[in-house]
Formats: sequence, structure tokens, C-alpha cells
Amino acid sequence: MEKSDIINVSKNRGEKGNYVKPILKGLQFTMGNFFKKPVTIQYPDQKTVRSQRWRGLHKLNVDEKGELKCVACGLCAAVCPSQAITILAREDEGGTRHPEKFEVNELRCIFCGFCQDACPKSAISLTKIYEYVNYNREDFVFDISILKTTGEKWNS
Amino acid sequence: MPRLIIDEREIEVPEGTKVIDAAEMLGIVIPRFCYHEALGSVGACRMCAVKFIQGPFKGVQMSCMIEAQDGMVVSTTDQEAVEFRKRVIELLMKNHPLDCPVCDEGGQCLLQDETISGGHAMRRFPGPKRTYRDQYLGPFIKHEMNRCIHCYRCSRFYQEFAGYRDLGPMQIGDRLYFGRFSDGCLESPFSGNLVDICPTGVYTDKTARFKLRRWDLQRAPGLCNQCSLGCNTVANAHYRGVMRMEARFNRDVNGYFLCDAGRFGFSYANGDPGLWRRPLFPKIAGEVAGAADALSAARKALDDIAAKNGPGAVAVVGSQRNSLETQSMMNLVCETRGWLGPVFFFDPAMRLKTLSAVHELDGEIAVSMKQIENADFILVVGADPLNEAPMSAMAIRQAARKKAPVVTIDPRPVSLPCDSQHFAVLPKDIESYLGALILKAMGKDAASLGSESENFRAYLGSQLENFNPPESLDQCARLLAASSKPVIICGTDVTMETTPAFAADCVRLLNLCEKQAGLFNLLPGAGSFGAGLLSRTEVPTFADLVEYIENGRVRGLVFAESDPFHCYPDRARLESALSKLDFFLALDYFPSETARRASVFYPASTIFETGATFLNQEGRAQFASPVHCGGEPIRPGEHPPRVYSGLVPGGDHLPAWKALASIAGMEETCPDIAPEKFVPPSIPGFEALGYPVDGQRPALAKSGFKTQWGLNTFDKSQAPLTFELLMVEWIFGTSEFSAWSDSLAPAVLPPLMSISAKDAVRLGLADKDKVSVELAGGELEIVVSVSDRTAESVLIVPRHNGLEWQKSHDFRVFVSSEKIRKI
Ligand code: SF4
Ligand code: SF4
Ligand code: SF4
Ligand code: SF4
Ligand code: FES
Repeated sequence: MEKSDIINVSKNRGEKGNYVKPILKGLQFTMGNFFKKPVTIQYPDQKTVRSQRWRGLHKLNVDEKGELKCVACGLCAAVCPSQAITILAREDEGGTRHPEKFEVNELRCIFCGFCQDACPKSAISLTKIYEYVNYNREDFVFDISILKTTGEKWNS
Repeated sequence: MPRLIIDEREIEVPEGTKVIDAAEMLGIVIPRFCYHEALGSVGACRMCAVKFIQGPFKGVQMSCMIEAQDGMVVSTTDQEAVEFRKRVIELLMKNHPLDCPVCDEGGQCLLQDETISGGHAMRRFPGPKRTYRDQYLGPFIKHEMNRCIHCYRCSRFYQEFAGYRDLGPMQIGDRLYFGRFSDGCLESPFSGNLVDICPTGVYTDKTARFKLRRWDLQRAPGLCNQCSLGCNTVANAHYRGVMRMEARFNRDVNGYFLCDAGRFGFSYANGDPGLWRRPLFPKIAGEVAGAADALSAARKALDDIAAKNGPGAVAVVGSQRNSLETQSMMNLVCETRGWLGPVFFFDPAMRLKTLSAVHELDGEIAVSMKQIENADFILVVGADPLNEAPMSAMAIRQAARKKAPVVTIDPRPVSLPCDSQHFAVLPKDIESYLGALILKAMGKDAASLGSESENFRAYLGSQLENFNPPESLDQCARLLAASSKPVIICGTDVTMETTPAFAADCVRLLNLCEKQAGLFNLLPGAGSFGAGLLSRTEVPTFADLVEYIENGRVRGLVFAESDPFHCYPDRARLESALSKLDFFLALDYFPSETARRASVFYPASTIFETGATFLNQEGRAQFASPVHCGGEPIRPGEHPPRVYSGLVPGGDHLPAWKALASIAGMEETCPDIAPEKFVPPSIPGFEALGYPVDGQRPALAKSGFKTQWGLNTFDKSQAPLTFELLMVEWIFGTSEFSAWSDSLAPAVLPPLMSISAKDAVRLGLADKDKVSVELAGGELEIVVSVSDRTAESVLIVPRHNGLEWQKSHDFRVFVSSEKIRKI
């Protein structure tokens, strides 16, 4: 090793004892906040209040007979900007249209709520649920059985 | 030509144009429900109100009822007219169930459009809505009467335009109902047009019910390839399948309409979700293989055969459904490699007929369907329009509605949706009737005609010996004499070999007598005109090819979109011939029997996937654009995965012509897909076409082919009490498309053998009797239908997919009366 390779750090060091003042300044700020009321909450033990228009996971609504209100018109799928909704229709014996398949990919969804706006039957709505975890990405493709019971599953 | 001002813009229109059409010429679309160009005006809906400011009419009037006249000043945006239309739409919506979300018309509904554009949004009338009971209208059409706005379009189309009477208006006022007298299948084979013509969702397409929403569809201008007319369609695809067919307006060909076979017969192109019917995997010796492996295996096998036995030991076989691209490539491959072919025809007689029909048709006598509508006399010879080319029957009806007499000369009980004079004659007598009719109509002796017709006269003379025309022919001749634009519609199925050329000469003869006569041939398939153009005289037919196989001259075969099991009349012989081959390859989109037995099978793409050019029977070149790229079918409840890839699984199939080029080792030299580049230069008229072609009629020039007069194989001296077995087409149930399209299955009627009433008495048979006909290949059991419009001494049997007509063992079969037994 040559002498020019050595960087002498002590050359740039200031006067001895110059660090004391900044430390005290920092400690003063810490102590000043130490006794104030905290601004964070203890999530997940505590939860924030969500606003009225909060848009979370989807829910498929049912009528008074407990049947899906959805008629598989596909308007929500058509309006969805992120193509998160997949619908296939089926005809029952009486000629009425029902969804054979209704899937929402919650990972594609941007929670804009357009689907809820577009629905002529008020059959789909966005709940306030924002906490959802799964082990697989596939599990975020919600089908009718999940969407019908969104509230129960994720709020329990 | 009246000049008028609409919305401050001036336009000159032809005499008789309605104001609503004049506005459309300016690009102003006046709202309408009842008015339709094909159906005319009735003024039923009051939606087309506009304000007439100057001219002979004043105030708010219906623009569909008033003809444009000089000096008219019209405003479509005048406050009074706008207000009027707004009230009309409000009234029309009074009873509407507002079920757009579940209506298959939604997204393409005139009523939706006009309601929005009329500005009506809120219902003010608090009373109840009238409701109806819907009817069952058969397998194609779904009826939902509550959506009706009483425009009368459906009944005007069904009864006036198409000529069927089982659907129409009933009751009055608020109870006005459009439907049948009772539930049941619609009788018209044009019923699918109700879906297009109804401005609301009363009639919707049952085959596509609830499968799609309009905005999800991939759409492309297509063609119907099920008969030789080449009607224009819009193909709608979704989820890797063709979902629905709509009519595409073409003034010269199909107008606004389609027949039901063409509209609903597309499901062959889709993989059946349960059965995977549409073949999607190449196979080597019945085992699924990769596409490249299959093609190279075929290439190697055919090369080996050609090396060992000479290139003539390999033959290429097509059919009547090949596109022009496939036909041209087959021709090119055979020329370059020295292979035998291309063989387009199975029946030698059919080949002669098609060739003479194609080559005798020239630009001067060829007419389009539009011209048939304007004809003033229609003579149908040896053709059954409703079964062989349904839309031509619609064109005939339009002429008949304008009082054109219609005469049919045919052994079959030809029925048309209009009044017609029918002569039930044997195929061999068709020419005598036609010739006698033409000669009588000209009111001259045959001898007084110029030298142009010498050959024709000599031939006709021989036909007319010992011929005593019936009285009624005289009357038809008088009507023909009085006409100025007669059209002869000539078939190729049951006629003699010379008849198409004979009909062409008859038309020319009429033209010598200062008529503007036209000829309209009906050919056996969508590719027939191209096959006729590209057939070389030295090439054998499939009937000859079977002999070549049997004596070992041909050892390898390529079937390009061709299924001999469907077309060849001797099944046992075909089976044994195919088993003698060293190798045969099938390139097809049908899961045909040939495809199943082939040494190598390659699934060719359909016209929906790669597009194709077809020449229709009047020589019009038309291109069907591809609508989707196909691929493995989506089962119900599935959605294609949302992955970003240029390739759909299973969507990389080549069309038959490209696969053929690859098998022949010609991919590199394979010309670009342009007819002017690969239609052989011996056929003129294609140089200037460009690609893709649309609706042009290349010069129909005569080539070397000459009709061989006197080549008829018909035995004029048919023994008494022998019957000729005539194989005929039906609109549903006889074609390959019908065999592989589930959607058509419910419309297929069981096979019936038609015989004349006199023969029925002679044979001791009655209507609906079941008989057994002893044929060379065994007993054919079939139910008899007795008709007094059928010619005597013929048994008319459809080439029905559910009937083993291949027991006939020949293309032309005679049966003696003792072989027909009642069982
Ligand atoms: S909230 Fe928006 S992004 Fe999510 S499914 Fe509905 S329309 Fe689509
Ligand atoms: S818009 Fe409403 S009724 Fe229509 S498919 Fe969506 S959820 Fe169902
Ligand atoms: S059924 Fe359709 S076409 Fe017929 S009158 Fe009603 S709205 Fe018009
Ligand atoms: S008439 Fe022929 S070409 Fe036209 S729709 Fe029917 S089958 Fe197709
Ligand atoms: S379109 Fe003119 S009254 Fe219906």
C-alpha cells in the first residue's frame, strides 16, 4: 500500500466537543414530544373510523328471498376500468337471466366504485372492508359464494 | 330530379325518393322505427316527424311518407318537430318493460337509441303497463312481446317480403299482438331476419341467448360459405368462438337479409365445450402430435411416394367448399410438383355441369340477385331455389311481388314463396320444355334465326323430336314474349350435363330478339365457381381417382377441406380404396370421417379465423375477413386467462392452403395471399383485382372449355316402371355444414322420399308409408311423401345426413318398381 492511498479522516474532524450541542438539541425535541398524546393508533387492536363513502371489497346483494339481485347484464364488467369483473349468464327454466359465474379479481380492482354506479339493480356494492389477506394470489379472485358473504367472511 | 333543402343544405335526389332517405343522403339520420328501405313506408310509428317549412306540405309531417319535391324546405331540428318526436317516444315507451339489462338486443337497439336521442328519461304515466304472453317460435327465435312498439316491421317482412303467413298481427288497439296463431316453429326459412329487422328486442337470436353482450363482440365483415350465393354477413365472435351471424347489406347480393341456414349454421367453427368436436389437434396415425411434426411427417411420406412411384402417384383432392386461395394453391402445388390434381369434383357429370355453367356465363348475360328482383319473367329450370340457394328464392319473390310470372321446370315438387307455374318433368325433358318455351315465345321458326344459333338449333331440333308440349306452356310462352327482362335460373344438381350451357344459349337467343335476358346459375357449393374456373380438363374426377387407387396408380392422397365420406356414393368401395393407399393426409376444419381415418390430420382454420376469398355463382369475388384467431374453446363458466401474450392457445392453425404449401415444400416460394398473384394467368380478369377483393366481378371471359353437346349420359328410353333415384339437397340436413353445426340440428326434418301421386297409386303407396328401396349397397328405408307436383318415374331422396344414401353406389341410379317395397 502506498502512502497516498491512506485517507486521513482525523484531518476533517472539527474541534473537540462540538457534537454536544446538536445532541442536546435532538434530545430536547424528543423530550418535548415524549409527554404528548400519540397520533398513531394501535392497529390492528384499534381501527380508524372510515368515511361514509369509503370503498372496499365488493358484495353481491340479495333480495328479500335471499336470491342474488344480479341479472348478469354485464354493465359493471363493461364499465370497469381495470377489467376486474367476469360474468357469464345463464337462463333458468322461466327464462330469467342469472349469473352463472360472477368473479371479481380484487387484486386488479382499483376500488373506483364504477361498478356500483353502473348497476341497474343495485346488485353490487362496495363494502367498507379494506382488510383482506390470503396466502395465494388466486384466492383474491372472489366468486359468487364469497361475494355473497363478503361481510361475514372478512368482518369476523 | 327534385331539389330540396334539408337543414339548410341543398340536395338533388332521384324522383320518388322519400324525404327520410334524402336526409340520409346528406348524412342526417331521421329517427324511425317502421320505415325500412326494403319494406317501404307505412307511417305506423310517427317517429320520423320533421317540420316542412316551405313547399307543397306545411308543418310537422312524417318524412317517411312524403316524397321529396322541388322547392321543399325541411327542418329536422325545428323545436316543434323535436317536441313531437319526444312525445312520440314517450308514448311508445309507455308499456315498455325497461328490461334492457337482460335483453340481448341491448347495445344495438334502435329503441334505446331513439329514446336517448329523443330526450325521454322519466316516466310520467302512473298507470299499469300492458303485458303479453310470449310464444314458442322454434329453435332459432326467442319471442318477448312486451318489448313491442307496434311498428309492423316484422309482419311486413314475414308476410309481404318473405311470403310466409304464420306470423302476423292480431287483435287491435292496446292489445295488438305480433306472433303466431298458436305456439310452434316458424315456417319460414328466413325467420332469422326478424332479429335484424325488429327495432326492439321482441325477436332475439335463441342460439346466442344470454351468451354475450353486444359490446363484448369482435365483429368483422364476413361471407356465408354454405351455398354458392355468397351472402354477406357480419360475423360476431367472443371467447374464442363464433357466437352470432348478422346480415351485412350488399345491394347486389343479399340485400339486407340472410337465410336461416346461413345465419345459424356457424357452430361447426366452434369447439363444442363438452365434446371438443371441432378438431384442434394435429394427429399422426390417430395420435395427437405437434403441428410441425404432423406437417413434416406428411411432407416426408408424400415425398417418399413421389420418389418411389413418380409424382403422379400423389393426388390432391378438394371439394366444393374450398376457398379461392386453397384452390389456387392446390393448382400451383400440382403444377410445380407434378402431383395429380387438383380434383375438385366427385361426380363427373357435376363437373361437366359446373364447368359449362361457369364458362358459358359471360358478363353480358350474368345477372345479380338484385337484377332478379327487377326481372319481369322468371324461368327456373332444374333448380330448387329454396333448397339449393335459399336467398335466391327471396329474390324471385320480390320479382313476383312486382307481377313477374314465375315458371319452374323441374322433377322436384319445387315450392317457392310466391305463385308459380310448375312443370314436373324428368331431368331429360327439361331441355325440351325450355327449348320449346323459348321458341314459342320468340314467335318465329327456329330456322329464321341467324347463323349465331346454328349449333343450338341443331341440338334443339334433336331434343324437340316427338315432343308435344302441354297447353299451359303456350300461355307461359306468351308471358315470356311480353317480357323485356326475363331471367333464367338454372340449377346444376339434377339437370343433364348440357343443360347449363343450353340455358345460357337460350338466354343469348332471347337477347337476339331484343330482350335483356339474364342467366343466374345455382352451383353446388360456395367454391364451385372457382373450382370450375381452375379445373383443368386433363384432371380426373374423384370417381376416376378411385379406380386409379384400386389399380395402384395413385398411392398417396391429400384431402384439402374435402370429405369423400360425405360426397362419394359408394361407402364400401371408398373404404377399401382408402385402405389400399400408402398414405393420405386430411386438412380440414370438420371432424369428418376422412379426418378420423387419415394417416396424418392437420386441423385447418375456418374462414372466421384466417379469412378467405370466394367467387359466388355469378363470378363475384368477395373476401371474408377474419373475425378472431380461434383457439381452444372456452368451456361454460370459464374465462380466458388474462395474460399478455400474442398467441391464443390453439389459435395458430394455418389455413388449408398454407398447410398445403408447407407440405409441398413451397413455403418459401409460396406467393403472398393475393389472387392476382396466384390465380393462374390462364384465367383472365384477376390481374387488376388487388387484395382483399370486395364484390368485384372479374371479367367473365370464355376460356378453352367447350360444352360437349350430346354427352348426356341420360338414357332417354327409360324402361317403363323404372324410377330414377334423384339425390337432392335440402336447406337443412344435407350439407356438411349442417352435419357439423349443432345449432342447425333442431331444424333438420327427417328424410322423406318424394314421389308423384300417379306413381304412388301404381306402387300401391300412400303418403307417410315407410318403404324399403333395394339398392346396390343394401336396403334404404325411408318414409314416402306423395306430391302431385313431383314428376313421374323419379324417386326424390335428399342426401340427408341421417340417411345412408351412400348405399346407392353410383351418382346415377335407376330402380325398378319391384325393388320398392312397403314395410
Ligand atoms: S370498483 Fe372499479 S375497478 Fe373495482 S371492480 Fe368496480 S369498476 Fe372495476
Ligand atoms: S351491473 Fe349489476 S345486475 Fe348487471 S351484472 Fe353487474 S352486478 Fe349484475
Ligand atoms: S315485434 Fe318488433 S318488428 Fe314487430 S311490431 Fe313489434 S317492435 Fe315492430
Ligand atoms: S342463401 Fe346461401 S349464401 Fe345466402 S345465407 Fe343462405 S346459405 Fe348462406
Ligand atoms: S318511420 Fe315514419 S312513421 Fe314510422
